[in-house]
Amino acid sequence: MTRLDTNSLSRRGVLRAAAGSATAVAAGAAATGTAAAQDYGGWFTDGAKGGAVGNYDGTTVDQTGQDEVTVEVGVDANGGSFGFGPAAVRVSPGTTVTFEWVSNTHNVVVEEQPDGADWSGDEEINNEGYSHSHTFETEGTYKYYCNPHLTMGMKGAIVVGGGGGGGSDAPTVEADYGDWFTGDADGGATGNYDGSTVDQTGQDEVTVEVGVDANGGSFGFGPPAVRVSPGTTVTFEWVSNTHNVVVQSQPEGADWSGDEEINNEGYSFSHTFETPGVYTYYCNPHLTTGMKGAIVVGAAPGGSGGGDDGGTGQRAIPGSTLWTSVFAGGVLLAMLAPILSNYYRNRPPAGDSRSGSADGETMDEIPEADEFEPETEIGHDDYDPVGTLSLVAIYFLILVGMWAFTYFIEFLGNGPTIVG
Amino acid sequence: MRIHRFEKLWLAAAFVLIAAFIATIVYGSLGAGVAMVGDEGGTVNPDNPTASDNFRDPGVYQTGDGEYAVYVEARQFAFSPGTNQPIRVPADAEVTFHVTSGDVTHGFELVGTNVNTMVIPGQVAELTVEFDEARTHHIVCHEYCGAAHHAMEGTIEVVPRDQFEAQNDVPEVSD
Repeated sequence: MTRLDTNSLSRRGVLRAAAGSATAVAAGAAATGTAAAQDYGGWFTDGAKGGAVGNYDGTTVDQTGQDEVTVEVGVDANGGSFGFGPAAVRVSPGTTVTFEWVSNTHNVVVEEQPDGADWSGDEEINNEGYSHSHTFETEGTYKYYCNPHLTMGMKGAIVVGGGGGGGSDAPTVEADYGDWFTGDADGGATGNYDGSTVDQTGQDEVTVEVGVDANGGSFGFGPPAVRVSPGTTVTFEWVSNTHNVVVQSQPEGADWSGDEEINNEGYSFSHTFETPGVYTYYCNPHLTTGMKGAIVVGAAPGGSGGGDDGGTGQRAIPGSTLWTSVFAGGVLLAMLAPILSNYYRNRPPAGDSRSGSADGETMDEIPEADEFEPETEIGHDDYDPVGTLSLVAIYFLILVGMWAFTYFIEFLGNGPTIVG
Repeated sequence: MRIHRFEKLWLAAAFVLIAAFIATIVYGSLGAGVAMVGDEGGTVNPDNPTASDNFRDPGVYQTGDGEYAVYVEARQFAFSPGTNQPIRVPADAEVTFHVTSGDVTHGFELVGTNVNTMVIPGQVAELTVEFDEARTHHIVCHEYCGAAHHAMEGTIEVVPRDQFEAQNDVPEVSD
């Protein structure tokens, strides 16, 4: 068992080292554009789906207070006529935004919109001269893109209303998670939850890392418990592989659906938490290891919330670590089994085959069949391979038939043909 | 070397078949008049093909009596003309297509026919076609060109020649 333990740990260590270098690259890419006043959670970078948006320079065009705003579809950008103009615009609730096609083969597909919004975009591909209008009532950030040119970075966003951010009148919510972070709830105990809730209230954008080093592997949410103001957009950023976010409980009226699809490093998704209360969630593949988290929306009762010191040392839970190691060792063994069996099969027999022919343990030599003398011998031209001849004739006829069909019927018969 | 007479038979048949294949190609070229798309279309500036000397504004032009030229620019993900408005050409006339690309490599194929070429940025594919029949042909791009490659298509409407001349005001140019 000890051997298995070291095996699995060292193997995981190698994987983690490999993942670490990739994280650095991903983090570098994701950092672009976060200095903007309005944060779109990486939507305008190539960290989100599609390419980076060349015509988004970090500014959101402020068109608030206007009844009618126009966004041009297919402006010159991103290496062709592949841009929304402007890429990011802020409007007041109730503003009618008209999308005007100024070049061809574009559409508007809604990627994300606030809860309760009903913008359906316009997924039909249309050409210059076409337009599409929608009146944006629900406050929040709407993200959209042009499907044919998504890879070129033809993406846009509309912010309706002012920035989020809870005011001083935010309702107070107690950071009461019940037994969620203990082993009594579903799954294992959460090693990286030390009883404190990280206070991030008053911020518009909060990031929770998915798959930080905790719970005997990369099985933690960082931070596991966080307090935010209502209206805060929480971005979940995957920093290691095969995690998802499944909602365990949320306040009545909230409609956070998590992200149950299992995703890998570099992936991220955002949700804007409006309804005050306690939200608990977990990662389904690693629930047993204690990969659980919670978000408290609302101000802490009586002054500031929990400490700001985030996740401290991880408390390894012996039981779960043991079983994880056994499982990992088993998987490793299963992966090595073909190599090992192949090695044993190809190992030369104990004695050299030349000398050890009499050895019963090694394989017997296959005896050669006796040569037999022909009863009669016929000359070269006396034998008529009629069967072979007829087979050759059949193949020949098939060939001639295919040739006639493909050239004279399929090719010359299907005009028009290029004549010059 | 002794060769069995049956072997001689099928060796001879194989040589006859090869000769027949070559004869077919010769017949197709000289008898049926099938031409290949060559490099006679010349080259254009790939950044702005329609402004090049070797190209015209995309559209249909009359180059002579019963001779027409169609200039098509392929772009992600449309043929211009073709996708937004159909290319209208007369039947029983010599129509020469000049096709080039403004961005990446595209394809230009009239579905179900032998009119088929690759469209390379900077190169003009020049091909002459005679449409015998008044009918609608569909153009597809058959070189993968991007995310909406599958949606890149166009239409050619072949109309009877007298009707074409009555309805369409096609600019006349000397080729």
